[in-house]
Amino acid sequence: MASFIQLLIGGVSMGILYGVVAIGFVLLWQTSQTINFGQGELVMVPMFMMVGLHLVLKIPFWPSFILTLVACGIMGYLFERLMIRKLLPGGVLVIVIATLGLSGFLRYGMQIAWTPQTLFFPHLFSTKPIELGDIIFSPEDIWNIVIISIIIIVLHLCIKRTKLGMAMQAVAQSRETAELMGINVRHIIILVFVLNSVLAGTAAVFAAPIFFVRYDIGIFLGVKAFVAAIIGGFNQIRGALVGGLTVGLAETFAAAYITTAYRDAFVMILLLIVLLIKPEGIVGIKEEAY
Amino acid sequence: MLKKTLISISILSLLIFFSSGPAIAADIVKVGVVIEMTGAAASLGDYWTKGVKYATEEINNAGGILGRKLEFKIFDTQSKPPISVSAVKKALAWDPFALSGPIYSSSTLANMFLSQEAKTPQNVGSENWRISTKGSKYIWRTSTQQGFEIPKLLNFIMSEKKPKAIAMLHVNNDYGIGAMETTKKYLKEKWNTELVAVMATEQKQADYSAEFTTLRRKNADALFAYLLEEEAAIVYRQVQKMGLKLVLFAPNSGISEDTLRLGKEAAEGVYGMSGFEYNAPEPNCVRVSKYFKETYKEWPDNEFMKGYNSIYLVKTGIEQSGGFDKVKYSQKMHDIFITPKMQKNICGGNLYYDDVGDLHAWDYLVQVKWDGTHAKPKIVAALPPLKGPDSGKKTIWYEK
Repeated sequence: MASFIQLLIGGVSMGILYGVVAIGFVLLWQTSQTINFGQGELVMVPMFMMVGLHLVLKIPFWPSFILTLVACGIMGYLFERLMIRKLLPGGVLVIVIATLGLSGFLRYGMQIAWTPQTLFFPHLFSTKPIELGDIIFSPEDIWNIVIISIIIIVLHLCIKRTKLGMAMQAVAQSRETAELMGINVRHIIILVFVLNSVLAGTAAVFAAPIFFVRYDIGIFLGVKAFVAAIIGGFNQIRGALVGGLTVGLAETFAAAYITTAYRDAFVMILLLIVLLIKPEGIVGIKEEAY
Repeated sequence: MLKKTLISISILSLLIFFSSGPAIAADIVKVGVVIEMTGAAASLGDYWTKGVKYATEEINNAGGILGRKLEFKIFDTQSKPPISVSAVKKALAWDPFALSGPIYSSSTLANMFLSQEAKTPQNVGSENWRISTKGSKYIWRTSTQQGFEIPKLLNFIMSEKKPKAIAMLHVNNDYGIGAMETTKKYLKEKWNTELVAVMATEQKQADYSAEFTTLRRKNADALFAYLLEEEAAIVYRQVQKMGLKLVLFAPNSGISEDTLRLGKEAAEGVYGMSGFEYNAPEPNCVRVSKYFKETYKEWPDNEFMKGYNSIYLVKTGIEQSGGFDKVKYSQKMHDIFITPKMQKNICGGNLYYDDVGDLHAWDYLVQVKWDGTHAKPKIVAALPPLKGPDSGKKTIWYEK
């Protein structure tokens, strides 16, 4: 039982990180029918920003964090304004190719402009392990789970309960109808891109002490989050979260009870099973339902 | 008229002779650096190329090799074995005298047949034991292969630390799998012991809770972490976070500067083995490390010394064979004992290359110490090679 709980904590702490990155995929898809394959790089860039501000320029953690989030917001705005808006009329495929290009540009740009080396990032929380009987866990894992859960719950409530959130939902369901109802669709889409970048920036701060800061971490996180979004349901925010947790738990339990080798393969098998049985994802809604 | 014509033809012939392309090309010794510039091992490739660059500058400033200047060109393997094959093909099309790199064993195993076919010397940074079994007479290692390094490390751990149950984490590629095979075989044959758990891990893996749960279930009190740099640092941090009490030991990738820079205090106490350390009692290692520290404001990873030596090996081979014949070079560079007297700048002291291009050299057993700001490798002992003129010498203990 102790092993099970230990694994549960490990799986959830990774899964929730995948989930928060996956939410970005869902948000963008819902409001602008955009699949952003540069999502992982939107996490990688703020990791480097935090290193620059907090570790190189020695700015205290909280001001660095806030400055990073502001920079992420601007990055999201520019992403929509300079790229997506121009390419949106070309359809999903054009955007997929363009974001793949952007992903490579950011990745190798960071390698050339900064360093190919992996950079250190300190723990955000105490590393002193907590023992509860046979169970040993790290405060870092627990804090990550708690804080990211709160962020996701607040985001969910904002989308469900506020006027702005409802406008986002309306845009997600039908851009034309939303426009007819007086919603400024353009502003909503910009807002979602900014929100996505800020969320990615938040994920970056929690991911950096676990993964360290490396220019190519975006591919890894982006792929995991994309798979999580598909498994959970590409048209539901809670789908991204469920998908993230499913991926995190599947790889942890498969590694513990089957084999540690090919842990990624188990996730891919799971993806295939979900696509075959429930293509809309575990909690996703069939598109016809709209 | 005839006289004028003859003089003109003679002048023209002389001009063509002295300005022809091949004559200029022949004045240069070209080395194709086939290395991981991007991808998972970009950081290591960066150290390696800095070593290549420094050695090239040194050699050229001292007059080149047998009067010829050295020139290198980089070909990126992207840290992927299939790409490394095309990188070697491109490098060979450039007509180099020798190749330097790659580092990843999987890449070397994929591309080494090309250098063999082209009869072009290739100095690699790979450590998988299988490389030496492929029969190539054109491959040389720049560090001790895992088949020689692991037994030395295991002997120390088994005799000094006396663990009851050893588990192993290894990266799931040729580097890690080769190490796992060597470890299992050696423990069984020499120590009549078996690993209580063998766990393959993925590159960029960040969560090891499944592996640590297994360690606890098996009551392991020692862990051999045969991982790449970043993953080794992550494991040290997670061992610390989980409060596991283990004898941790690792190959050179687990105690390299790249790993310790990331692992910091979590790396405290880790034992490891390496042929090159910036604080080793070996003058050339210290000299090139000081250069690196002054130039790049940090201590080098051992890949820097390996890249550096890959160029000095080319110089040694050419000088020892007395020219630029690759076949003669190959013959001369097998069963050769390279001493600082023979090649004064080469790192690592006495280096013996056997008949398959395996390096037999002194290795340093180190333990990582945390001084409050940096994790540093402290030299515990210098262990003699298993083969070659130095093989009979005794271990030098600096601290036990």
